[in-house]
Amino acid sequence: MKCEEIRDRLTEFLDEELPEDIYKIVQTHLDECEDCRKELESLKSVLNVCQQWKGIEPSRDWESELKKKLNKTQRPPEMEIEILRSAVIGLSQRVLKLEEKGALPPTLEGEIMTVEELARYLRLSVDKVFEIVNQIPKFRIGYEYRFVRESIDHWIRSLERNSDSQSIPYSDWNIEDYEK
Amino acid sequence: MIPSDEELMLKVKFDNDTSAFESLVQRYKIALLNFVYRFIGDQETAQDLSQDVFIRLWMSAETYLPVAKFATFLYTIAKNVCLNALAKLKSTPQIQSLSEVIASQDGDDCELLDALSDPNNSPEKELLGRELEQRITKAIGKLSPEHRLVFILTEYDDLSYQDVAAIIQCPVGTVASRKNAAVKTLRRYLEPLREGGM
Repeated sequence: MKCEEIRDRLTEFLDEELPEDIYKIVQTHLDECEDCRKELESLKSVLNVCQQWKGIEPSRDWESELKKKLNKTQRPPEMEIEILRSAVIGLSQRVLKLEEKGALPPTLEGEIMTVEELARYLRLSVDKVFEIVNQIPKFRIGYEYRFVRESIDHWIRSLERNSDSQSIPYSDWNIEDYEK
Repeated sequence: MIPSDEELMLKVKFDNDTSAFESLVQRYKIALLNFVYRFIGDQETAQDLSQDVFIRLWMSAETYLPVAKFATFLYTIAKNVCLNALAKLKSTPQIQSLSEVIASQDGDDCELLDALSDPNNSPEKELLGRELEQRITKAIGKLSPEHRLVFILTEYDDLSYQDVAAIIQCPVGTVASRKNAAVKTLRRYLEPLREGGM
């Protein structure tokens, strides 16, 4: 390495930031080159002068000012957690109520529905489902009816297409039953 | 066992833990205040901006990732606060420039003197120290913001080149060349001091 290259790396040398192999090259060069040693000393003394700058202390009201600013810029964190917690509780209570009322679609429970779930899905009473069960796509396991949601959706679409289809008289759709 | 900075920061992030935040403030407030002071060159502004750094820290705790060193995260915020403030200073003519601020610091400014003085020092020595500080402040004020940042972070905040590279988002080689350039510029302004034996 030439003197010029060495001098470009002297701050790194002083900061001990050079890779080991280059550090050794610089060190060896410095042992042999008086001019570069002088340059190193000159940089070192500049840095020593800079180290005399001791800095300042926080003002007496520094912390109280910080607290004031914190309070101004946002809600205190405890409050934030409290709001989230009450939101979660509120939401879960609402879900429970809806479940009790049977207002939740059975989609949450899966792709295969029981008679009760289908009744909720169709907004019909369970009795009504049993009444028309022969027209609904279904399968049986023992004495239990089960309905595949996809087939039910398909069936509903076919009913929509044949709006004149009177297989299930509209008058028989009893939403009130379900609401109860 | 004393929790690490990173552990405290994770408590701030996940639990909004105010006492963990308080501990971080205690650990870093002096370093941060002086980082801002050395960069901006005005004591009052530094007191104010250093508080803003902690406000930002609190607000951006969500974005802290434990893979990052806490100091790197904090100084990145501090750097942004300083650069924004500098841009505002430049665009607001009624506010003094850094060099004017430094030039206006006269003998009545006791805070700096207090910070400097050692009880064992004679008043002459205090005055000498104060003058020296002013010269250093002035010299550092001559550096470009990029060089100043690197110089302050490596020289006064003891951060490695790698940490500084992460803070200013540039290669380590750039940090090295900026530091080198900064020291050489400072030598031009501080050389007479050195030769004067101060």
